[in-house]
Amino acid sequence: MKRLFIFALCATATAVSAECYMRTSIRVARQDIFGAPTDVQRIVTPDAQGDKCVLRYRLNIKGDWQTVEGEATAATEEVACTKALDVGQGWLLQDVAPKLVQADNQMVCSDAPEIQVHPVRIGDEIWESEVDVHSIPAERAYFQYKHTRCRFFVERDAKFQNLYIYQGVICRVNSTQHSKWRVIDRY
Amino acid sequence: MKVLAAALLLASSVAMAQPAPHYRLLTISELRSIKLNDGMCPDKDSYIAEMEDQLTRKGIGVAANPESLSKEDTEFNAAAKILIWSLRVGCANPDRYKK
Repeated sequence: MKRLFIFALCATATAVSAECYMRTSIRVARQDIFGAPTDVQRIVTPDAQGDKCVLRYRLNIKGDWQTVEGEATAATEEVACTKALDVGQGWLLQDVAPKLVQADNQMVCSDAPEIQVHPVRIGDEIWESEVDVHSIPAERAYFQYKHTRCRFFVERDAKFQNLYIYQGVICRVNSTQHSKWRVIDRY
Repeated sequence: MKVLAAALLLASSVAMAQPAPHYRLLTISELRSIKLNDGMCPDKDSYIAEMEDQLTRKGIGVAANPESLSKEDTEFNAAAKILIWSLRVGCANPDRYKK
């Protein structure tokens, strides 16, 4: 009985934590994208043709981070995931808004952690898309600092009826492609 | 550039020659008037060390989150950090700001 109760609690917690989005038929226009896909989460399942790779990643589109999903099937996992990462084949995932549901929308849910822009502190370990890109185009490019890939970010904070804009630097924690990032300065 | 060099050298020499209480702290206006250029790159480490020393001696430190600072210190910290990161990034990535 006790085990059943614990199982029921776990099942409820899992169901509650799942995030759902509408997968829209909107394709991503390459000219609106700042930088490459980042914070990639992948799910690979066997398929009759080989492997099916579903990727959920973050793209900066006209200065705002958006969640995008891409999927592809191929003989090998590597090829399937490379195809799935083609931003021209990705669908935008938008927060569920029932009044906007149309016939060509699909609801997708995931237990993967939801990534959102939020205030950070020096030393925090974050996903890259948890901080905004710099508002000045010349400062958006990545740079090398102590042999590590880094970039500037900005953070807007409205408090006491004032808008504070902080600037900072994040750097990859390790050299892997899907590494998390650490806030190394903020001012 | 020359202004910065003069200001920093003055601050350094004063610091070395006299006890800590007489250390020459730059003002926020002096910090903001500093213009960076490529000629500073060979000595960037000493400029950066000097700016960090200014932050330390002002009681701000080099890893303060802005929420923990007064308005005046927040502005001083930001002005100094902008110079520090401009030197670090601009000198190590010379093509970054070229059009």
